[in-house]
Amino acid sequence: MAIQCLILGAGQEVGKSCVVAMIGGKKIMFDCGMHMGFSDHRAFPDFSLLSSSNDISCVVITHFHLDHIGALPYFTEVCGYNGPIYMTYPTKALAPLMLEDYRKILVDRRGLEEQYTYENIIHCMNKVIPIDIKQTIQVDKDLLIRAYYAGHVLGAAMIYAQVGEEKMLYTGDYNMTPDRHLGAAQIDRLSLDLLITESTYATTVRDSKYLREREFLKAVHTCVAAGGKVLIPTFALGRAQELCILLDDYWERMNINVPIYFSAGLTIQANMYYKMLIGWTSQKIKDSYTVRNPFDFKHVCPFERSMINLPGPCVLFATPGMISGGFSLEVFKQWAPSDKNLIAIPGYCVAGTIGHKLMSGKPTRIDLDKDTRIDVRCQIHQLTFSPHTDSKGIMDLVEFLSPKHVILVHGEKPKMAALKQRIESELGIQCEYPANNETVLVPTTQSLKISASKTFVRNCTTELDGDERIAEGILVMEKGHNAKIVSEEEFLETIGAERNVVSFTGWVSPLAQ
Amino acid sequence: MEFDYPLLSGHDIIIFSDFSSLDSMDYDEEDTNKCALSGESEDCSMDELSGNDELEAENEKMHFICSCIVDSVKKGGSALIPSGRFGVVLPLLEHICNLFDSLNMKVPIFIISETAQETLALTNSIPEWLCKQRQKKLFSGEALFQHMELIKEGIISVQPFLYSSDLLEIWKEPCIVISPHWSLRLGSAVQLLHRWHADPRSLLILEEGVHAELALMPFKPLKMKVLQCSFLSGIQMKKVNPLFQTLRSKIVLVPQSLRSQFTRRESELYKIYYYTKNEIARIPSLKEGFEAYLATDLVFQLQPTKLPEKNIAVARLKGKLLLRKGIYYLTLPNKQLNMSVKPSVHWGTVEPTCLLQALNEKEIDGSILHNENYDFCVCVEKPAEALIEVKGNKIMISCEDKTVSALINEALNSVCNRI
Repeated sequence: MAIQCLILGAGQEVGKSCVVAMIGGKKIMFDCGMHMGFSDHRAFPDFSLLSSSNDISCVVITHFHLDHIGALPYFTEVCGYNGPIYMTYPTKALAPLMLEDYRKILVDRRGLEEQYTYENIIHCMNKVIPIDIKQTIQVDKDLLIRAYYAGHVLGAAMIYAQVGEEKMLYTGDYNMTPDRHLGAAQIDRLSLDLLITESTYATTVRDSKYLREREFLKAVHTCVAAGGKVLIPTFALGRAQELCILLDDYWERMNINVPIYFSAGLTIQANMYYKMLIGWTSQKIKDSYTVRNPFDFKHVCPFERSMINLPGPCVLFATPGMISGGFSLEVFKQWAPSDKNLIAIPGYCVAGTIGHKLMSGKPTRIDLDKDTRIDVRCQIHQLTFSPHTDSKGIMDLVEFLSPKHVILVHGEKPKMAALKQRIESELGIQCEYPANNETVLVPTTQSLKISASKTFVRNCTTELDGDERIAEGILVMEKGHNAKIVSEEEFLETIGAERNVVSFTGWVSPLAQ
Repeated sequence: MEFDYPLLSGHDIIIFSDFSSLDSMDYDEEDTNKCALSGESEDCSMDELSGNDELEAENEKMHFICSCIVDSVKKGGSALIPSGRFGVVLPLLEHICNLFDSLNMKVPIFIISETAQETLALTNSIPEWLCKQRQKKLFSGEALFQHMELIKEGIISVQPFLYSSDLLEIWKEPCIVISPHWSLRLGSAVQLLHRWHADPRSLLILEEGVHAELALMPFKPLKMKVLQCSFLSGIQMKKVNPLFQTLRSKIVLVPQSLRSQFTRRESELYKIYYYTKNEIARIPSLKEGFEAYLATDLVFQLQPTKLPEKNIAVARLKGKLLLRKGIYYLTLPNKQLNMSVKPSVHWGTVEPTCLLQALNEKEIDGSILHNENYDFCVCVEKPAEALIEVKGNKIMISCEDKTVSALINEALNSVCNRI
């Protein structure tokens, strides 16, 4: 028997995560994401490789990042999938915000044809069944799934799936260290046939988080102290809250009076959700939120468009991330030409975005299109604290779980190759990193479930060297029932027969004559 | 919240531990009889388990209480609700506020408790535990309970102490106060009762379960109106049988104190056992055997014999036995075992003609002497004289020659079922 994994996305790349695993005859789709670097059909996984949209038993989404959920409305409303969809409560609450936000940018700013409508998003999300951490869900009589806390972003989960004796875990994106608003990933000691893990930082080992935070805070403080403006382009949900907590705390400690702004709308609405989903945050927040809710930022105020060119220092969180368009691009156009200002890029930027261009080398000019040119004289700071686990975290997880087989997804090819080497040589576990549209066959050790009688178990003997218990018995296999192993003495009773007893005598009865 | 009954069905034992019905005022004879007669099919049981009828009843009660409060307030009296369970207080608050809103009345509501702020903040962060209607609020970005908004608007005021300057500044009567403690022996409720006990316009709302006579003795003479109500706290007795039927367990453990409320019909498949305080209840083991797993490589080594008349196949098995997390595993042993041939087990009727044929194959001539039911006798002449008597499953081989005896035995074995 084997588990068959079809990698529809995030194979040797970061983006459009989608894995369809056939386990024990049941198909599960883990994640249904879109690739942020494309705006045409290449953004979605190739669903035509599936024999039918509806032979999938269920779809499970790990978290609300677009590269994990972006293609879901397309899959349900356009491809016609109408089976169960599972995700955690925060994911169900926050995903529509992310999806609608991105859809608006595509349509309003870039004038591109949308792949799905606002109604599609609402209709799709209405079908979602929310699940809690460590809640076991019986999808049907054979398939069982369970979510584990993954850290990374609010509501992110690792998904465990089991059919009969075949067990696997799909990690999605996770973080093995806690941060300011989330705890670290938590997993039980499962015995797995297959582990599918992300490998974004497959070869990076990150040093102290505090050092890197201090660097960022110093850069921001220096800029505002000199009267400059700081632009932090982020998506409305995720890093924005983390950085806000960081800055709010620092402002409090250092008694700084410079305003911190959130671009109005989405992020403020998001805070409403975060306050209701406190149960999914870090232990520290859970212990103290009744006294002071960390998402009630003291120094943060909403921003108006008219304030872009007001004099004086400030810090602004503007969406979308990577300066891929929208409001953050508008602000960037105004603030980039001044050398007093600072742009802080929070995380990974997909190729093709302005964020990516700023990160790779120091451009003095950026051409938006043939008519627009922006002079870039401001400073650029790249934040190096990421919500993904580093390679030490991945190795720790693999070692802890000791699965029989590992598949790497969501990373870059050369780094994944190095990580695969490490896993195979240091942990002796077979590892692969398939490309998109490849299928991997993972053999599973199958065992037959039987029942053993008490006498059988009691009778088993110990070999001479005391190491192995050897058991002998008779296996009875009846159609429609579990096989049963019994001891010899119970055997005939089990099948309802009587033993033939043969006796010998040397005396031949005269009857014979 | 809807309960996932099917997920929990088919377990071995249910321990029933809901004692709330012991002090329930709603218990009456009719309900008990309903207990015995209810629910024919599983579908019937599921319907009876749904909370809709309970919800309606609770809503009616809430409405009645609110209208009593409105009456008191209109006369100029205040209402005191000694808090016990917040699960009751919160919906009651929502009802009261909605009613006042519809009647355009502005009455201040005070919650006086040191832990109220924390509790109220907590109630806004537990969407996973609430009913689907309230979860919908999470998904549309609204607060789970109305009280959050009402506190912001200043309609509800949460204060830790009764004698704090903050509270005294905003104090206004008539008002509604929710304050501990339901026992009426501690907390701000005591002071407020002293203040209002002689006011015939005021209202006291007590939850059932409190011995009203005893609790109110220190406040006599009592001119204040008292409303004692019962709120749903556990499962209603009439729903217990449908519950057991839906869950389909093999054994049900019920407290001895509730014995009189359970009558089990003969047709039901579960067994009932009763338990009492401080006594160990002994339940017979349901396990007939142990759970075990057989490794496939061991399975491939098996040489099964088919027994078509019984529709089963049997095979001898020898392997390594491991115990991991309470489950047995049978795998291939590390060392090659000496598969010593065990004497085979035989069973089944011996057909006389088959036996003769088998004997002939071994060059033994014989003839059937008599044949009655399954008893028969075979007389052997060559190569030596022998007598084979078969009586049921007892076979006697009488022969002087040991070799011939052995051959006859072999022939016999070949015609029997054996392993």
